[in-house]
Amino acid sequence: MTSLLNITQDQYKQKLYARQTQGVLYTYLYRSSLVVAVVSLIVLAMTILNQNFGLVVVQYEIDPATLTDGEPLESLDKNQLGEILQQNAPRRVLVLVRDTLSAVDPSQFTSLSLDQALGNVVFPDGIDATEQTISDLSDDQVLALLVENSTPDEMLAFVNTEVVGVEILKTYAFYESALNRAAIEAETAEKFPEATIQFRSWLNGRFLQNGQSANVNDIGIRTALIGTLWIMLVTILTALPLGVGAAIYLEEYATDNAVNRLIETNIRNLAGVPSIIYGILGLSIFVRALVFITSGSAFSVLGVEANANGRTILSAGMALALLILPVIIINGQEAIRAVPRTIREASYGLGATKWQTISRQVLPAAVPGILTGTILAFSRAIGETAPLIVVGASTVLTTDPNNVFSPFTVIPIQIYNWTSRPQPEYQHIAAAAIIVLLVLLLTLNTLAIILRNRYSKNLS
Amino acid sequence: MNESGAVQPLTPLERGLGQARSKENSALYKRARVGEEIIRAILLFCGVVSIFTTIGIVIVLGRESLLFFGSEAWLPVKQLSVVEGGVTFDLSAFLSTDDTFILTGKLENDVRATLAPNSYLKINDEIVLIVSRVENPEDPTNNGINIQRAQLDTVAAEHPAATTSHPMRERQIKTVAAMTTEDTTITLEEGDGLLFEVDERIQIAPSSEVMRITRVADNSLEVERAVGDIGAANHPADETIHYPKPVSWVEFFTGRQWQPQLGLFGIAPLVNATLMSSLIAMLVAFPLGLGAAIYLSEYASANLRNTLKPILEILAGVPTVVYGYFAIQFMTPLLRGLLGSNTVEIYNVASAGIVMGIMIIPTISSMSEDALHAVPRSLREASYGLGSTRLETTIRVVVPAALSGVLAALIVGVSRAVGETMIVAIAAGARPNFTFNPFVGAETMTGHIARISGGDLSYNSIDYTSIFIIGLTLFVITLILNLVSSWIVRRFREAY
Repeated sequence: MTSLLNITQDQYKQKLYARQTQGVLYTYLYRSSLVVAVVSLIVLAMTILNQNFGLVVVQYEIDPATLTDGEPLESLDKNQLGEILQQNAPRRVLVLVRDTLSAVDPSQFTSLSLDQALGNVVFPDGIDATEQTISDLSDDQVLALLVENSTPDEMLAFVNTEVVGVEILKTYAFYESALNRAAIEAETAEKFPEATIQFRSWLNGRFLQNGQSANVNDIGIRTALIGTLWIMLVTILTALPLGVGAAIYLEEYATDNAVNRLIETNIRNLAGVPSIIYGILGLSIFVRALVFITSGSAFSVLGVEANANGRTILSAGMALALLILPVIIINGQEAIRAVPRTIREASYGLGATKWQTISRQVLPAAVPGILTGTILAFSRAIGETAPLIVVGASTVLTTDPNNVFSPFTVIPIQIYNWTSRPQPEYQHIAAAAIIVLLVLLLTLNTLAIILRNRYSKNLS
Repeated sequence: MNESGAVQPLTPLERGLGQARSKENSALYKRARVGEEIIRAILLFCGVVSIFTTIGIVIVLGRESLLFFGSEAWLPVKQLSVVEGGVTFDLSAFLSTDDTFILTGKLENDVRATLAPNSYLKINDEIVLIVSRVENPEDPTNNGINIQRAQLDTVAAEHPAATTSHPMRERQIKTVAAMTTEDTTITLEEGDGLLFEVDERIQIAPSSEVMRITRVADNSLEVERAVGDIGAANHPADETIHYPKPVSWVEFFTGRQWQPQLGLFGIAPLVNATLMSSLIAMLVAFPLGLGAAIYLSEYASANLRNTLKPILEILAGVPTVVYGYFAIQFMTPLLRGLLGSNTVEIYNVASAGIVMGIMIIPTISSMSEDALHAVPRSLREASYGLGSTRLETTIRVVVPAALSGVLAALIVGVSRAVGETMIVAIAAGARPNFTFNPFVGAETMTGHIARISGGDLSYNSIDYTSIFIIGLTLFVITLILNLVSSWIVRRFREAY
């Protein structure tokens, strides 16, 4: 006390001023940490958009305008596209039939009869599929076969690669394109006099519709998008019942004994295990030990086409299910805990059994909370890459997955593959895929927020 | 039934009805009871699945890790030989038996290529290993190479000036003729047979059958076929012969190199890179995350908090592969621009670590904010009542009161950084590298697992079992961190 009283008023004022200045200074410091976080998010978004839009220098072997008298290729129907193909690249038609429709080894393709050589295809009139081989057909019949079994978009892609021969020579990111347009044009005119400059968004309709391709211009995300949806289906069917069941058990049935405490602690610890460990677990158990089931060979009596190994959608989906199970359980527990005791007691008072109380009173009241937590867990699963690399995603996958025993790839895996390539075009493609992924996640999260806001009031 | 009032004797009819009713009731009750028990059992099973998961992880990682230590890395047999017609150079000074530096003067490009570090040089009968090169373009008179003397069972000797030294090259030993399943003789080039010893095991090509040598000749080996699990097979000519190198515990913990293709399995470079990237991440994430938490909890108005928290949540919801893209597309060029592209390699730990820090900010800020928020108002008001400023209240009262939660947030952040895979796999490089320089590439544990399992992984290979031992190391580290975090919360929690 004496020391306090010994301070003169000036000293006191000085000290107070210093303390207050310090306070203001630190306020700015704290605020700046938030600013850093927000700025990072903005820069992240801008980096992706910058790579998604930009100029590309494109060169055609044949200018598409000369093929169609100025009409854009996109406006033609598939028969017209077939004619263009026939006129300009007659030898490639047979090769395209072999590459896209054939179900057998290329060496047997010309010797087997048509119904054996080609898979499930529609044969145009005038072809005897059981007797004739592909060499017996006339050029027009082969073309008809191709046109009949391809979508207009596929035909357009054939014309683009086989006739027009689109080649991307150089790409620019958005800022460069916007700021240095003149320089880019000058450089292009000098280096690639025959090329044209286009402004493009790498994310476009074709990117969503096309599958994988060796040609940068035709590359698309369809296979990966379908793979993501399939895997999410498996994950949701596995993780949701298990997770909600465990949450109900822990909240409604479990007494405070050693086993239940162990389960509880264990779930908390599992939530902190790195995701790649779940990949290793999936590789060892689902891919290898349970290969009989996950490859589909156990179900081959039912007519299921088995995969060569266990690296399938089923394995990947179950590995992800184990990964998000703790999150679903913890969220489910919180949702169930939030249901007021009075509701349960009213139900018991009316003579309901425990399960009747849970299934007819507690669960319906907890559903919005459980769903919100589940959707958030799934958006985490959709973005996971590491466990799926370990489980064994296919990097090159030409066919879409059609059942749970198909090999798979997902959007994040494609982003990783494209990002790891040295060519700059692939960085643009990765940016487009990232936008698709983020839009998917944003949609799911919005759904979760709407659910939360809509149902959060009606209990209390 | 009427229980109140005077008890009236039941008529026989009533008694019968009552029995029937209670029988019916008890059957119904039993059915309900059984149903309830079945449901309970199903739900218990759901709860127990998570325990199976943990047991599965422990068994899988443990079993394969034990296999890893019992296994052998099959390495190609190599022979050192003088490069014929290669570039040679003369010693410019007398070399005593103790000298470890050879003066070379100005090095021409072709000579420099043959004098690479880690390659051998033959001087008379002695073989020396080149350790490093000293080069100064301005003053070539002091250029030279540091060497290790008397390598590979040779003896250090004195060498007069102007002795010619010959660079040596490693050559893999290959079979000369093809082998059928019946053959027991492997034909080799003249002299190569003497490299082997009787009773040694060899493989022709990796992952093929194991053979035991029964007799050694100058240009051939007699072998016993199919000693291991793999049956005898045909082998084409020109296949490289491999010998086994067992993997040891000691090397795993003490070795400083992780190079499966050389049979070197020291975990240190991978752990070092993981810890370094995590440290960088925490240097970014902890101050920023805690600062953001303090601002949100103590300074921000309710409105501002409601706007800012969703933004942090978005940051937390971005998939890690997107952060990896961000690191390689934005952070790496930024670092290279700021510090110079000579200092910063394209793939480097710093860029991955910083972006990982940004990723972890929301984790730390949201956990810390919860902890700060839980500190009761009365403590703050008492502090204000004593004349403290808001800063003093925050730093001296609120943060210490919430310390357990803040520490737990820190540890959970570290645990996330250690287990993070995609950012480091994309941005931190694909080469295990024992270094403390954050601006060069170094592969982390997770990055290594992702890289080698991304290719075609054979289940018999040592690469396959090695991902399990790395995984086990990772699992143990994160488990300890998680346990410590929950212990801190329990032990240091201030209950109000």
